[in-house]
Amino acid sequence: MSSPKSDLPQGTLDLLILKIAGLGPVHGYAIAQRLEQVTSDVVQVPQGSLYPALHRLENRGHLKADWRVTESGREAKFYSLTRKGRTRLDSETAGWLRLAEAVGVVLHLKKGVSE
Amino acid sequence: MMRRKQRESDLERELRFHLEERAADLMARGATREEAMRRARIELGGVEQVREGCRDVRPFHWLERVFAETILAIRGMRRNPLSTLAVVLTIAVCVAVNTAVFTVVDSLLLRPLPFADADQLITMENLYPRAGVTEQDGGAASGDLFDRTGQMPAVAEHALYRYFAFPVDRGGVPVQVRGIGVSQGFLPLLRVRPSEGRLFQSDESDPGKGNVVMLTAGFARELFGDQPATGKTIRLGNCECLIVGVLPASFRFVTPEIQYLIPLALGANEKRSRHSNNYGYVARLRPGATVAQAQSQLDAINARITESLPELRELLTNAGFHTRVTPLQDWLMRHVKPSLQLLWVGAALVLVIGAVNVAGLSLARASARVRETATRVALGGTRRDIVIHCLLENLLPAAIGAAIGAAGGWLALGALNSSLLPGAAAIEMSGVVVAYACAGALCSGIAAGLAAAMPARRMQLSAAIADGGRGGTSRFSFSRRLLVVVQIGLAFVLFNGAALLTATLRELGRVDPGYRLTEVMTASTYANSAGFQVSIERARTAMAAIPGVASVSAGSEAPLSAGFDDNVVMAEGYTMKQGESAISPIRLHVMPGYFETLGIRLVSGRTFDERDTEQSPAVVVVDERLAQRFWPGQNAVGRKLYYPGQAQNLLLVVGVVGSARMQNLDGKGNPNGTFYVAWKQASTRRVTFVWRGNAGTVEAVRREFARNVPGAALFDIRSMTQRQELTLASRQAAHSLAMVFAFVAVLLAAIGIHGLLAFFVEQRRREIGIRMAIGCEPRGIFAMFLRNGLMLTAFGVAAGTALSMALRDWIAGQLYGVGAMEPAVVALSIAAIVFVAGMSAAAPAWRAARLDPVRVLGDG
Repeated sequence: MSSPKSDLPQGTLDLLILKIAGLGPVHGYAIAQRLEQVTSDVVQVPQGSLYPALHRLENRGHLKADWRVTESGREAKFYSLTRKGRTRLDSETAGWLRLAEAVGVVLHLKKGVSE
Repeated sequence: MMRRKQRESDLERELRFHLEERAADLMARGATREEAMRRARIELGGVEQVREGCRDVRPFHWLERVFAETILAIRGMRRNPLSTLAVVLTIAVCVAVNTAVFTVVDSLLLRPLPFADADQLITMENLYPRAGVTEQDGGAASGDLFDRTGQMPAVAEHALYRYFAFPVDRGGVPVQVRGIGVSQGFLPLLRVRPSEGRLFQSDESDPGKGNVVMLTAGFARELFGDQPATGKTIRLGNCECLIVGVLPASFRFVTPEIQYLIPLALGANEKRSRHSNNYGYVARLRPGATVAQAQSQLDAINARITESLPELRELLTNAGFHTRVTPLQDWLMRHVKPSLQLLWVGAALVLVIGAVNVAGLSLARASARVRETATRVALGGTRRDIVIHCLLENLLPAAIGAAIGAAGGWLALGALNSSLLPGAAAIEMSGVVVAYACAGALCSGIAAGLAAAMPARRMQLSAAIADGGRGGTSRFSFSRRLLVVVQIGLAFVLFNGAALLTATLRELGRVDPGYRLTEVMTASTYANSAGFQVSIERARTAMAAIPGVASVSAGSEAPLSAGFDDNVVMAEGYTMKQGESAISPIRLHVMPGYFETLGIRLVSGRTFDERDTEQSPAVVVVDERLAQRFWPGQNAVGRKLYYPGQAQNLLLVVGVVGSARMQNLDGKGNPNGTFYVAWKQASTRRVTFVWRGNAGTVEAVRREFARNVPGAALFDIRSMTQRQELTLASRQAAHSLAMVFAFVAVLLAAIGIHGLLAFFVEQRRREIGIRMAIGCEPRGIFAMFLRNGLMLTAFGVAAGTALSMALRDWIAGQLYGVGAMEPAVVALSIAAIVFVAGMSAAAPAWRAARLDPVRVLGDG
């Protein structure tokens, strides 16, 4: 098997889902696939928690859902970002990037710099 | 409902879409259809769990959950009708008992008196414990009001009251109506304002000015209907009284028999009177002041006054004189409090036993269902669901039981209300009461539910499923054994308590009180005029001629009355030891024939006769106890008594009679005995006729009385047997309740032990089969289970005996003639509990012994 994957940090699943849905209406399976393609080598996305997360975001009004026909002609539940979801995505993205940057800076500290 | 269905089918479609898309992808990469579907499911991580996860995030999902579980619980109840019925009935009985008893406790002990800031109300009573005047009959003297008013910083207001009874004409017949005389500040102190008219004015308490009266709302309506009563007059005895006001309907003081208030006439004599103690005392603490502060200020006043009375100082000190300050409510309830507390504890124990039974039943159901629970968990039910399920399953029947019980308690209250208690407070069911009892029931439901759910949380799924419910045994059985032991122990305590009360009543019924109880009638009246003494004597002579009346006499009281007069007496030539107290025996004024009619035994000398008149030397008759006190081992006849400060008026003892239990049958009244003074030589306002005859003579006696004592009312017409019953009424009521408690407790314990053993037998069917197959006789099987049951019983009885020991000082005050751990009673209780428990254990043991090994083992 490949190198061990880390678990997804707490709370980031929602952020990733919002990001993917922000790119255009998308159904659950497509989100799962996206997540897997993009992150499969790095983090473990538990598929079992994907749907509860989608439903939670929908109940809170961050996503809205409607049934549409896919390219293959089947009906599927498509999720798209609401205005509220967009706001949350933007603020969380900014927060996340700031945090990542800060963590990055710390992790790149070289010996001599602090002295 | 529609939305829920829609959501469920959407979820279903969404997940199906996911699985099929995934499978299609996998098939595109060359997997077979089955293989693809299987992998898709595995990757998703359990379809049912995902489904549950999605449901959980729905808003108000928990409501749906509770709804669904309620339906399940109802289905469960219908599946186990017997066990459900047992739970419902158990809780219903327990709640009924507790609602009834707690209602009384709440009304009388817990709820404040119906006056504003009732917690500030106190009473003060003068006690002389070493002279025999204890809290049973303390009181206040009229002078106390003037000594204390304005002298106690902790007390804002003081007032006196005194009972009166006057004949009031009701349709031509004089009827005795009770009221109280009150000092000026009484109603303002209680913060009571008249609903009509005005309060008494200050000059109306002066002697001779007081021909005014206030009526209670009930009495005013009885007399005048809806007309205003103020301004009209009412004849109370000889006094034509002007009605100045009507009390509000909520007014209630000490007893509901009080129908009117009159102003107390407090003249110069009354202001000086100390230690005569014919009054009741109420006072109101200043806001923030305590009973202890009032007590210490009062002690200081008493010390100062006693110091200023050199002639009484030694007497008072030796008698242990002090005045006790008590919150008014505690004082009013002093007689009922101990038995009420006992009943309260009894009822609470019944509730505990009931709860234990419910928990036991719930554990039995849970352990029989281990497999079902494990299956639910395996299929995606979370542990939380299981807990909710267990809780609801127990709460539902508990709630139904509580509702039935509260209704039953309300009905039972009627019975309690009439028999148990004085009506000082209105006994009515309040929300607090229902909440108390229902909280008890629901707590037991919750406890039972959690008890059943606990093991499920730690369950090993595979083992539980493989066992098929049999393996649950050990996990549940220790707690169930413990519960049964607790039940038997508590049932023992209640049974033993009830048996002790039964023995007490039997002993009291056997007591020789020193007077006849059968074929003696009594009837009372109050003095209404100056010539009263003479007309009473005339009436007595007329009554003696009535056919069926064998002998008739009268005295100031008959035995077993509500109140007795006592008076300090000294004996001539008797020197008190240093520090010895004077004594205050009961004093009765009696006519000739009193002892003979009542069958009080003459020991030596003579009783009163027609020779004892106003002109003849003053004579007394003493009882043996008093004679023994003053002249131990000597003949008392010919000795002399005198009242303190009146040594020149000697009273010659002409006879000694047997001691009689005047105040009550248990002999716990005045310890100093009784002395009797001759009717014509002293005056009394209170008169009670006593005559030998049956109830058929009452009408004739009434007629003769009305003819000879016009305008006076004859009341409290009872046989001595009825007086005896009245004296025992509150004990009888407490005893009946205790019997009910004991019966319910033993029944519940029997159900508990029967259920547990039946469960053991069920769990060990295979083992029994094997034992029988290898030669164990049915008798052996029977003995094995019976032994099991008896072991539990033994532990329970031991625990119960220990608990009874711990409680013995507490119940001792309610007993007479038996010890709190009377060996015969305890032995009887043990025998009864062992018998009942043994019988309840024998039934399942017998069924075990009758099992057919071939069939049992054949079942697998």
